[in-house]
Amino acid sequence: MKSAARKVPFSALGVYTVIYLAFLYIPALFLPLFSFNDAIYIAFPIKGFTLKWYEEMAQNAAMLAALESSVKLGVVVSIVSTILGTMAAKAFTRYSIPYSRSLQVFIALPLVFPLIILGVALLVVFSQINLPLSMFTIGVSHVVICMPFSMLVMISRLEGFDKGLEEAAQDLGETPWMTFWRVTFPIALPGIVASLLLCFTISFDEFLLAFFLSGDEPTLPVYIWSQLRFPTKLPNVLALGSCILLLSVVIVVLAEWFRRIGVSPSVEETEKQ
Amino acid sequence: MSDENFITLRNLSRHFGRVRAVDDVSLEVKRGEFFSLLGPSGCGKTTLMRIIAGFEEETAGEVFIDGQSMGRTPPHQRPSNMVFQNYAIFPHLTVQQNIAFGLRKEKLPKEQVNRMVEEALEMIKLPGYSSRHAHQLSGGQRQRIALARALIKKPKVLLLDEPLGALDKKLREQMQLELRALQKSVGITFIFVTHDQEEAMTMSDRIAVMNDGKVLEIGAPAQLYERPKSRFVADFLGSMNFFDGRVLDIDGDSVVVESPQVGKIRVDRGDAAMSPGSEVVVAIRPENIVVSTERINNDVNTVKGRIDNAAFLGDRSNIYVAVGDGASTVLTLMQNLSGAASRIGGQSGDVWLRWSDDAGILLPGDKV
Amino acid sequence: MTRDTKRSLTLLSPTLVLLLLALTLPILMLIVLSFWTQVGMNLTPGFTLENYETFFDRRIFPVLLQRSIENSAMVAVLTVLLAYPAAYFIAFRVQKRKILWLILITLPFWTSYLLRIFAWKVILGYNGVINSGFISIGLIEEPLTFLLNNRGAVVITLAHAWAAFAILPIYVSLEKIDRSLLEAAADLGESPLWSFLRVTLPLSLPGVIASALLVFIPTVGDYVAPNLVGGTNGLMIGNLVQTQFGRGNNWPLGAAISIISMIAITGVVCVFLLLVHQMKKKLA
Repeated sequence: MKSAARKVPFSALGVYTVIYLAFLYIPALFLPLFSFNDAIYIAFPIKGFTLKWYEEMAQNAAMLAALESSVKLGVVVSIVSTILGTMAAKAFTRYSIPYSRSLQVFIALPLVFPLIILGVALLVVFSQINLPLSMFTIGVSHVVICMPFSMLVMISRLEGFDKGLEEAAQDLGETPWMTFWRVTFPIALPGIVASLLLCFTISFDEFLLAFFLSGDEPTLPVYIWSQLRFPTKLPNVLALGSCILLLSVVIVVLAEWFRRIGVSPSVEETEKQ
Repeated sequence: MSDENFITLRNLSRHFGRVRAVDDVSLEVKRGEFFSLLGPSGCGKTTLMRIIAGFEEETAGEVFIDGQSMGRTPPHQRPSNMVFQNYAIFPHLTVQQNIAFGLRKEKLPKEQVNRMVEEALEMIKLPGYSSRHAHQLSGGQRQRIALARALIKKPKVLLLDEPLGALDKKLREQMQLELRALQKSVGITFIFVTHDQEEAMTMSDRIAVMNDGKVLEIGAPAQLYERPKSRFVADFLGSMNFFDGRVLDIDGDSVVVESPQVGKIRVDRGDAAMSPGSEVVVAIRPENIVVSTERINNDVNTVKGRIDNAAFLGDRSNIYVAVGDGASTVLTLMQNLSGAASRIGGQSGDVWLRWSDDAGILLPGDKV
Repeated sequence: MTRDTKRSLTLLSPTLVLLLLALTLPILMLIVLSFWTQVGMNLTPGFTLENYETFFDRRIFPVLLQRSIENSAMVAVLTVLLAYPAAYFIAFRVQKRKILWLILITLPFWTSYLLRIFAWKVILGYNGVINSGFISIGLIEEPLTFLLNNRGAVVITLAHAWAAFAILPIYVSLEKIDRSLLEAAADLGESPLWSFLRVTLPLSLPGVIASALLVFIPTVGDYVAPNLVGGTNGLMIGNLVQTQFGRGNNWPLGAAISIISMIAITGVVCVFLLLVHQMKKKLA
């Protein structure tokens, strides 16, 4: 609060925040910890170091199939969500739309909506129109929850965008289409990449909707769920889980990095509200 | 206004790494004075004020308010109050709550607080505004509320950080007069920061001109304007013509300077020590130079030229006269008495400039 | 219609169509379904309030809903209280690399929800990390049974899972506060503590409320946490809904429960916002 250089070498708040962070991370860190444990049971003391759970996991056909499904689904969902989200973001930032705030709230609704109700509601619709459950049905539900994220990322990206740039390009002779490719797209690109990565992660990790809406091919989280009832399979689940956690971390860090390329600090935090 | 020194700054410095935002500043403000810190952007005036208020910690030196050293006292315990540049009106509180904000600790009865706030609103000419919220107010109104909020605590000194900067011209000029009148009526010492020299001269009892973290000169407006001691101050206040030259002759209290631009200049000697041949600068205000279409036959304090450009401003004209084969330009000012200033621009022939012996200001030659 | 309006509608329409078909329509269908009946595999359309009556008849159902709301309220309060100091620290005390802190704090939220809840099962279990850890260092002799399979476990697990999310809205509203307001408060004589109470806290309240709601609303219907760490004591309304759509085979009943839950959540949120509004008026 004081802008004077009053040095507080030891900040209680800082210590609290570090402990807070530690508590956020530690529980999940037990998964990798015990995935190297040479024992079936997840308990102290640690028996020994082994990679066999990872080896088993890598050879598990069912798991690999589920992995493939999740990846394919994630890619498709992220692309569709990003396209829709970007278009919506462009509409809101570039043009003045009546009831803009209400529409934005409506589109952002899936972000707070209780997932289970969304899941069963979609289940009802699909069964009423006799659409069998499949990757497609899961995909639809994932796009519904990913698209608002994409829109918010792109809105904060586009909001700082100087409209004068596009006008200058057109003034210098470019058609609207070329203006998009030479001016708008390059500037929006980091946001688009961030959106793709984030949407992929959301879809890849999503369990509840997939649980309700999947057909014969389970996604990876659904597969994990099915394994949870078998205590002997637990270490395999840990190995798999640890890999997934690592993957998510990498993707999210990349996404955040892309999201903040060239964005002023004041704009970037208007993503939520 | 008593002669007591109320605020004393002694050898105050504030360094940021190698940058000296405030460089060894010492000055004294008298009780009840309207004192301005004047200078261009980045000269350190705001930093200096924030040190007095307690928001910046000085690297060296001391601040005394009413005889007491401020030392490490945090801002909320200092007997000073500040009017911030952007007013800092609390958006979640009403006008009444804003003005009464600083009175919480005094635990006064509600009726008394209400009365004090009403008096404050009368003083700033916004009666009846108690229950309004910040977003309903204009910039000028917010500025006055910030003022009332600070004054209601009856501080020993009021610090104002460029409070009129965001207002439009007419409002600003009106507020300048109101602030001055207000200060005189409440009798509180004001320290006022501004980059606008006209504003400083209008309102202040004394001005400290700053540049690059240092205080260059302190004095009453007229004194600084008419008798500046340095080129920077001479140039910063109003407009000024500068003529380089060499001392030709010293005769008692007068000095004759030979200037390649305008010829011989006779000027009062002042306190400067010099000898024939010294390099000096003579500064002459535009308003002290008379433009005449009739030939003048003196060989000192006069020069011939042609009008290069004339900017008609309504009440006067700024006339740029090319002299000495067009190598230099002299700026003169002519009042528009009976339309004289509007007509002079059309003059295409030779004109003659003259000025009196006491018009020139002798400054040291090393362009300080 | 102007060219601009056309363009903006073109851009917006796919999204709106998607949401209408995949959000609004399904909810409407759900409402319609709640008035139908199902016996075995036979779904009978119609209009009957039977399912709603069933909900209130079987005492356990409303109790479960109430418990779910209470759990979520506790989770919301807990996460907000714990997140506030951390958000304050990053907004006010961190000068460089705020972004790094924010990423670190929100990162867990982007990882698999399922795995994070499962991690708590691992920690709290009978043979889990806490028990085996304490036993192996001799702190206790027998495993603690009260750690898992109860309401408390669900609340703690949910609070932990949503903690990373709760911090963002609070941080945003703190960051937006004009620092010169705090200087003004100090200048007018308020100590740092009082400046916080009179200026920072009120101005950050919208963020706090948003955060509480953003945690409360989704967690009422949570299914994974009660299932993994709740046992029978920790059951929540989400489990009930899932049962009706699963082996319970009574979709209309499930629909009715869902609709009732949505209404209940909306009701609680409205009451809460009203209370906040009243409080604001009183303080002015």
